[in-house]
Amino acid sequence: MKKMKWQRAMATLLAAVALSAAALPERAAADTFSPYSTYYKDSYGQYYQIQSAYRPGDLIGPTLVGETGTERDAEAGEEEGGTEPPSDVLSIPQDLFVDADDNIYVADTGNNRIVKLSSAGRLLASFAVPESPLSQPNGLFVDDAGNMYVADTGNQRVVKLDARGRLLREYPRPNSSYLPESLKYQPTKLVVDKRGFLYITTLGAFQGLLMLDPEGRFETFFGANEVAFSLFDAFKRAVYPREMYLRELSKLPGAIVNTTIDGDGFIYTVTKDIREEQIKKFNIAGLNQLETGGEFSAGNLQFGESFGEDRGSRAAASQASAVTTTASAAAKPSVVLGVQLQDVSVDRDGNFTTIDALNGTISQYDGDGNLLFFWDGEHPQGISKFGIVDAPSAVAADSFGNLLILDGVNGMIQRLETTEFGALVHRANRLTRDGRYEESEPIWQEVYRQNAYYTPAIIGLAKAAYKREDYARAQELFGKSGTVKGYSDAFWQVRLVWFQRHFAFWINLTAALAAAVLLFRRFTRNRRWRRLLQERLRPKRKLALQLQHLGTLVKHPVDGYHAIRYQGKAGLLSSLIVLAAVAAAFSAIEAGTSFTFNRDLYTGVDLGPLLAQFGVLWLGWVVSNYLVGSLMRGEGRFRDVFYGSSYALLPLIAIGLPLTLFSHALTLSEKSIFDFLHLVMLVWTALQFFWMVQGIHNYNVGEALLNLLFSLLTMAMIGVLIFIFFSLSGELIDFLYSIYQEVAIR
Amino acid sequence: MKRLTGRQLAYLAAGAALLLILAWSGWRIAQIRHAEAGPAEPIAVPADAVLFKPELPQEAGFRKAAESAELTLLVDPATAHFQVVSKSTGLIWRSYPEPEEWAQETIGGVWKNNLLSPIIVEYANLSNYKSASKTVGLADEGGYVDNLETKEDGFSGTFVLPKGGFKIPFEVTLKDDYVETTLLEDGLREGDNSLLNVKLYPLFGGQTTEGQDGYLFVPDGSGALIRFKQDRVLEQSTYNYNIYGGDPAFYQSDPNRQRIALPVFGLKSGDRGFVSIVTEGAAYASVFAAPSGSLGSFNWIAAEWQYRKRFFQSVSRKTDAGFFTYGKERFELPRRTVRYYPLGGEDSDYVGMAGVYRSYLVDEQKVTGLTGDSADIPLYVDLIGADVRKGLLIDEYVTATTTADAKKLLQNIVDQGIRRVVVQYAGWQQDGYSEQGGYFPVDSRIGGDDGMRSFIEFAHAYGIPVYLTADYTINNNGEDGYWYRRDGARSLSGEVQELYEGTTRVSAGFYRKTIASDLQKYARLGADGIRFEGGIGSQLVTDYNSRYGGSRADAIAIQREVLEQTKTTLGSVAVSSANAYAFDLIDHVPLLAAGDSYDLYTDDAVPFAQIVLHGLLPYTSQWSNLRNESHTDFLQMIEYGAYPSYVLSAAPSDRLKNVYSAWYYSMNAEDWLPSLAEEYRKANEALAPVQAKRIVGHRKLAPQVSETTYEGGYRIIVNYGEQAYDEGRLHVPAQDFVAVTGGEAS
Repeated sequence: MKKMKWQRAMATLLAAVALSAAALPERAAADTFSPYSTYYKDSYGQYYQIQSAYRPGDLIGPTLVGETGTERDAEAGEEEGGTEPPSDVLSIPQDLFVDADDNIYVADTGNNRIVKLSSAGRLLASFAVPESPLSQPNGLFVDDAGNMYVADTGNQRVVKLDARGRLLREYPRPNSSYLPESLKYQPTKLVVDKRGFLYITTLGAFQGLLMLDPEGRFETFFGANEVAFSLFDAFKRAVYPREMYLRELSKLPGAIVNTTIDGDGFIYTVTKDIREEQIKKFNIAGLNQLETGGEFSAGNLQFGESFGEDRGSRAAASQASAVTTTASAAAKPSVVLGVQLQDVSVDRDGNFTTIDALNGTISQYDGDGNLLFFWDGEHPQGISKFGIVDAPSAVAADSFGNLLILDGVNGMIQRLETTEFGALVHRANRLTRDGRYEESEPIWQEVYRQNAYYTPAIIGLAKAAYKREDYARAQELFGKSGTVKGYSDAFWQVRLVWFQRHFAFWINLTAALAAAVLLFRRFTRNRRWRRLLQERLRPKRKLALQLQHLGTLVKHPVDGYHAIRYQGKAGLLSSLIVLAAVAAAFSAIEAGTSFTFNRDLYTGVDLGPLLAQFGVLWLGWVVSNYLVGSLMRGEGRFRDVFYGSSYALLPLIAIGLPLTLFSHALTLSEKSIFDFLHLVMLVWTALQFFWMVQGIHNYNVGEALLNLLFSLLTMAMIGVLIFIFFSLSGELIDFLYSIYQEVAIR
Repeated sequence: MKRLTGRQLAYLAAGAALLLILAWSGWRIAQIRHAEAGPAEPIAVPADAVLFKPELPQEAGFRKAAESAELTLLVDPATAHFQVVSKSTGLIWRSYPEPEEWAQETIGGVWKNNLLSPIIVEYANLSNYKSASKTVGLADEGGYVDNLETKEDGFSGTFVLPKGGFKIPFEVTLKDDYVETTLLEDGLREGDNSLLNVKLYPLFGGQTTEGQDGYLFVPDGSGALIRFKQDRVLEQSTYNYNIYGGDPAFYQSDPNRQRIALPVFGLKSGDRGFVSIVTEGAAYASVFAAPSGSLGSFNWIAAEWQYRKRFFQSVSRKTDAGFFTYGKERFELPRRTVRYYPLGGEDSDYVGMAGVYRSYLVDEQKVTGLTGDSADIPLYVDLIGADVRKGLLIDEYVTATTTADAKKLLQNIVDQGIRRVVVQYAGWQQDGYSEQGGYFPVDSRIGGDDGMRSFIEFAHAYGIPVYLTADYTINNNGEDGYWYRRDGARSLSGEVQELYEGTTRVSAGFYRKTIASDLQKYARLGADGIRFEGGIGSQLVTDYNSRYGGSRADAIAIQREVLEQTKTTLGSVAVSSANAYAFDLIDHVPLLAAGDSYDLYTDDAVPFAQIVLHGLLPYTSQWSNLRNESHTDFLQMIEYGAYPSYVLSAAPSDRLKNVYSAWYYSMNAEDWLPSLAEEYRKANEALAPVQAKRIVGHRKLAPQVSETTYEGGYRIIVNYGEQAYDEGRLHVPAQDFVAVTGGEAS
């Protein structure tokens, strides 16, 4: 219900700052209560509330109970080798693994043991390895034979146990000259591939996963992240003294915090504290499969959704202020990333699910990294509910498609079960990814019936239509889903068919018209009435003449502008008309260019701010150019600059409008043509302004260039001043308001 | 004299303003000091006062205070504790811990003393904002019971808490089948400290967990049970939420949860229990449930009476800086009353509790039952007229269902053989669903007043009533003569309550006027009633607007007045998910909560509200076309005895994409008509015979199988499981239900 009435739209116009903030829908007061709300976010950053894909299921823990008391005691006693019976409550468990038989393994970190549970959550066994006790095991992996690999963090080793929990071998820090001295060997998580190679996450190792062969020899670092290197960093490197530059911290790539492996041997890594590529999916050669994104989506490199950008920081701040009773503003952490991914898990359909350590948001993507859904629930800090784990430490998927979320604080596992809607989407998406479009179509139809805003369903239907060679339908659906590539491809086919059908007719028509014009000219060349007609058509009125002056500017721009200054070839009215026409053309370009070249069309172009921005820039130019001109002995008066600057926008009409029309006949493959014409328009506009300065102020080329430069500088300065003024006064008002509140209320 | 320039004047003015602000601040601060100066007189404890000792009352000390046909009330004058004895069974309900079980109590410290106390208060010294609040009973306050007097039907007295400086008068009254405890305002004394909340006889009927079948019943959403058991999840958690929902004027610890709509709670332990109804002042009570392990080993549940509420005072508009505080004025109301109905035998479960509450509604709240003279169950159809979304320059109006469309849509439904339909038309107002304020006339783009009148006539020809949906509690366009600074609801600090940017909450006194003037317009359209959305009948807001403001109790009065007027003028009225105080005035309850808030420490959600209402008022669960789980939720609808309800539009579903309010992702009537007809047919078959019947039994036959029993032995057995359920001659197919009449499968 975020309403922007048109008065307010006008206010925005005046503010003239086109904020492209993605409009968040208000959290709908859902009629059906669920502890969390599920959303889809399309590639334009628009959020749609959808049906829940998962429902809260049962809880495992915190107290673990055996199948029957005696059985458990016998087994556990044997495993424990006579040590005192283990606590049957989990203590800060950190990792979760589900094997092929749906047994659940938990790294019970606080109790220094591994716990094995049945899929129903009954305690089957617990392993503490008495012959060489575990110390704070943080991660584990179970291979197909039932051997357990435990990242024994406290002992700085990885151990391999057999299915009964007996120690098979240890993997201490490998001896290798390739391992840097500085690397601390503190394994936290690990996976093992089919060949028995280990991929170990060690605490804070930015070099990547430690890859060991089955014998424990160091192979290589796997899947390292790259350092983010910005222009600013380059500047710093160039300018800073060496010592100072070396002291710059955080120029290390993000450290991998978690990892998982899927049935096809792809290795997924999770990296915290970075904004992009938090999740990577590596093939055996170490190439990230998610870099290119899905077939029809523009490579989505950000994973882990959050509803609204600053939720994390807001939550942190409100918690802080809830603690302090004094009015002093709680110091916010300088940078709070909205997303802090903790773990990733791949399910039987190849979809991967990530959890956010900060607010418990769960996001699910298909194997190509396309978002399927994400959900989170507003809840008080530190409070978990069914379906909401406030501080999740791990996630795993079982073979029924359920998700298990490990609650590290409360020592519990929450099960989330797929809903009817979630199951439909999974089935349909699986078929689409396998290329079985025909089979997927009826399922996508049903998904679409239940939720018309769910973009993956529309894309699925579009792909099916494309496969059926129903290109018009495919184009429409791709358009509806906002998929540019698909839209363009379908249009290419549609256009091809159209050409095939109509080519002959149009070519004949064109030829006939050309011939007719030619003949007409030829036969009327020397007739008197033709001259008379031309005479009659020649404008007489001043306004019309002034408008016609545009034509002169095309052929003889410098003279034309000179004439505007000295011969009154332009007037206020004509300039305003030209301006209005330019505004119209600008609007047409922004809102009328084909979707293929104008993705913004999908979210709806908001012309108000755009026009305001355009207008303010133009006005700023006029003012600063006039000011600079009057300082630099330019001869242009204010009105001349005004008229000239209006007329100089002529290319927007002359090229922009036809190009806008033309764009509807082009596909992505002809993008270079479109871009070229677009560039021509911009360059010509820039040249017009240059000539305008030259002509109006009666400058030579050098003077004109200098004037142009200073005008732009002046514009920038005016902008900065206005910005400073507004932000400072805003701060001042807020400061006074705070003082008032303090005094009035305390 | 030199003339002042404009700039100098501005400086002078700014300086003067600053000085003024400073002076005023100083004056305020001086005032605060002054207020702190005079401490109140401490309470002088008379020498003969019998101070409360932290031990159980002597069983021998109890004297008979009153007697009714069913019950005897005994009181201990020294402690004011009482016993209620059932004459028929001899069972005793005590207002203090059961003596045998108390011996095993392990909790120590303040809470041990509190649990023995007949009253627990929380208070704070508000003049010193650094002081924390204190929760204490009589013992730690050096308190005693003053003026204990028996009267004809009970006894009365005053609790004196000398340390805190409070005198709290109370009375206990015995009626036919219940005992009533009341806190009186008359004679209440506060000293320097301020009362925050009070629990009177918190341990009434409390029991420890000893393997018996027992639970605490909390009216969360439709109702939830916290079972008596060992190893509870999040053992330390207590349940503490406001009856009739949180108050947006104050701090809400967890706003995202199901509201308490019924002022009822209860406790069952083995074959005994009790149900409590909060009668007078329910809007100021919270239900406080403390299962064993949270505060002692007893399971207890009580009403917590709020005298002041926590409020987050923000001091900055931009950041979250601020502090928690309480209002200086306490909520004043003459009586705060809770009734305890002792229950025994079969009636001690939640169905029995619901029965007691239903009788209370019928006998004392004048809720009249349904007659059941209709052959079919009603189908509730919500129509969305139109909404707006962001457009190119101004908002774009998007029609969803014009009045002409509505006729066709309704005709299609009737053609399916559905004879009993109730239409609720939303988004008919000027500029559509998102526009709050200035409803009339009906927007001309969907047909205007004439179109609506004609549609209503059309519906009436089929005997179908038409409600118009409206929300008068918010305003976002300033129409109806609304000016938010004058007419908006204000929070404790005097700020207008803003829900979203530009949308403010309307003071109850103001919407009363608006509705009164609109009612005739509804009548002229021929509407059969208004369906109130938003807050009337379902949300209570304390309002500090000096012109219209009022307490929660005032809000109840105004809302009831509005409902009554609507009913008298138009004939009927409905309230979405209504609070209990509206039950006697409304004709049906759309979107009644069907589930609880998913707290981890609750065990089962039960259809308590449905059991209370079936046969009294028709109700629906969520909209069938927006279900998370299409089929499971249909089964639940049958189990809960709810009637089918759809939200539909004539336009294709994706037409309304990105509108401000109507986020409903699948509304196209065409898409839903086949399944609507099918589900209606099934539901009608099952529920039509028992429309006017009450639910007398509800239980689980197996983990996935539920049984609902109506008066006369009619049973509906719902099987959610994947396997068929067979028990004797009963066969329920998987994911299906059967209705059984008087013991035989139909």
